Amino acid sequence: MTLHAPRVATDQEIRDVVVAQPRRGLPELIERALLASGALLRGHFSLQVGTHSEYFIRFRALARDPEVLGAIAEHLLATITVPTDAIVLVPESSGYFLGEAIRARAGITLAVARTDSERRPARSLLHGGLPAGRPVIVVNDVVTTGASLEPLLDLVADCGATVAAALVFGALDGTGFRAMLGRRRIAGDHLIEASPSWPVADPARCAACAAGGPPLLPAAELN
Amino acid sequence: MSTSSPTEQLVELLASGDEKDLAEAAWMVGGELANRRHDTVRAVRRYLDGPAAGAAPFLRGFALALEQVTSGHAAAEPEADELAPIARAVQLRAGWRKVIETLAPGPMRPSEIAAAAELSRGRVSHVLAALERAGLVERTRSEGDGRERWAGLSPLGGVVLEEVAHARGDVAIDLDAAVVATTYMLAKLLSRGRASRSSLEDALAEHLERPAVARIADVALRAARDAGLAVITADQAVTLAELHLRDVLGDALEHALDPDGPAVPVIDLARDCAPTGGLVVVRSESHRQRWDIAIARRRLDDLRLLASADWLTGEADRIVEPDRPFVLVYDSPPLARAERVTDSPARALLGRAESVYCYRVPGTTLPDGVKALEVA
Ligand SMILES: [Zn+2]
Repeated sequence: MTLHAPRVATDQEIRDVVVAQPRRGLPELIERALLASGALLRGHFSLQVGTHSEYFIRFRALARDPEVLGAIAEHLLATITVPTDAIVLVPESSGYFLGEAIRARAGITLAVARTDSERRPARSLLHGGLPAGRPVIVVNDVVTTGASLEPLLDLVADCGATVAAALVFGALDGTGFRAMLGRRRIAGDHLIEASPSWPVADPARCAACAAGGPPLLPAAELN
Repeated sequence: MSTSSPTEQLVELLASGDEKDLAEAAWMVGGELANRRHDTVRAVRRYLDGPAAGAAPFLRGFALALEQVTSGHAAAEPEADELAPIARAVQLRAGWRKVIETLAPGPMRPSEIAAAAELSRGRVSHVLAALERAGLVERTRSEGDGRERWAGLSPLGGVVLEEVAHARGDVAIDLDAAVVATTYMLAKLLSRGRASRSSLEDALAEHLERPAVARIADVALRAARDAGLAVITADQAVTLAELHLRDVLGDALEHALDPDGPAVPVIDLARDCAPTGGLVVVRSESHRQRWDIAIARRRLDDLRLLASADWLTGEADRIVEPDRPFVLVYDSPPLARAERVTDSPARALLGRAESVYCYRVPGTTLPDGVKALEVA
């Protein structure tokens, strides 16, 4: 079996393509973890939104270190006010680990949404409940603009609960993600985003495709 | 230039290499494709075979990308009757048809489409993306209202709507096409470990009207078996049992999210049989998110999950420390068999494991040296 493996990005590449959410610096511990964990891969990936990317963050690699995971959870929690009766909602994906860390730190409860056959969050619950009227904090690991959170937001609405905030570790299109939060009047934040030198393109404009390789890997299968 | 054909114009624009001309070329190709004219692929190839040889790498790449797009479109269009397959695709997909019919009066917001067509917002957004890719729907961002992009039928979408309306009532399903698509869907489900008749039917129901689902599923399952697809072997009982095993495991793991849910045999194994100071390593591709979460949730620190992605990303050595003894547990008999014979990264692991276990499907045998774990 020949595996066309992506490689772990170099420190220089990581510094070039990953930037902190513009209003804050990146906490040192998290920056060090990004460099040391091998979580940022360089290759040719198809993202769930349909675009191709030359980098991919495998959040599971970061999340294996409880100290790093805890720091990410804490920094995200610091950006919002957490109601005492809030519920954390995560999809059954690597985003679960961030959601669980946030739940544990905030001392609240957890609900897990199913994922569909494409590993996208679906609009039904696998575990826990979302009682009507309760505030919900929607959490995921890495999104592009946050459109993949929409089934979760719809699920909260279906249950008659209300979205109090949306927290993600990374939003590749940080501007798009913040705009989505603004449009929906949802509090929330992310810690990192892609810099302009992170190549993301429609398949028809993808430089890696035009150059005939490396082979395309579905990012969702790697997490 | 006004007298030359689109093909000639396109070659001239590409050859100029000027940024504005390239934008113009891309726009022209889009227009030609939207009008279902495929001469552009010849033009781009003419450019690639001739002037492109000495052009800058960027220009060559640009032309290659254009060629990919245009040839993709050209290949997708049969010569005899180019509208029929699109109309059939729309007819076959209940969601597509509902959205196209809903858009007949004029452009709408996705939320309005969802309400009118009685589809979920998420479903509507998937369908709109697919219809946009197929060139049947155009989307615009309205000036005053930035919240949602409006969607309306493209000229091609309008023609297809008429075609579909004519064929209404006639449940003409192209069985061959549907079976091929379903067989592919089944293979995809199998690769994700969710294949069973009911999961296949659920997936089909996304695309087909209910009465057609059972019929297509029957034919596709038979075709898949005859084609020797994946775990569908000559011995259908084995196949169904293996599919059943995946379902049983999936369910057990689903409950494993609750700390006091029903037992999963491998968890007992971790408690009883893990070597002293060692690990139980679960080798799974089918339910790996579920295993990973269940292990974390029950705080089973000496149980580890290993998926092929962990070799791709170089994490395998962090997950199974080289100096710790371990037993290896497969959750799928085909995977256990395959990794003993293929040159996979797992083979080195097999050599180091103190014992190898696998879930056993009733009525089947496991490879020599693999101990059986029974599923309740
Ligand atoms: Zn690409």
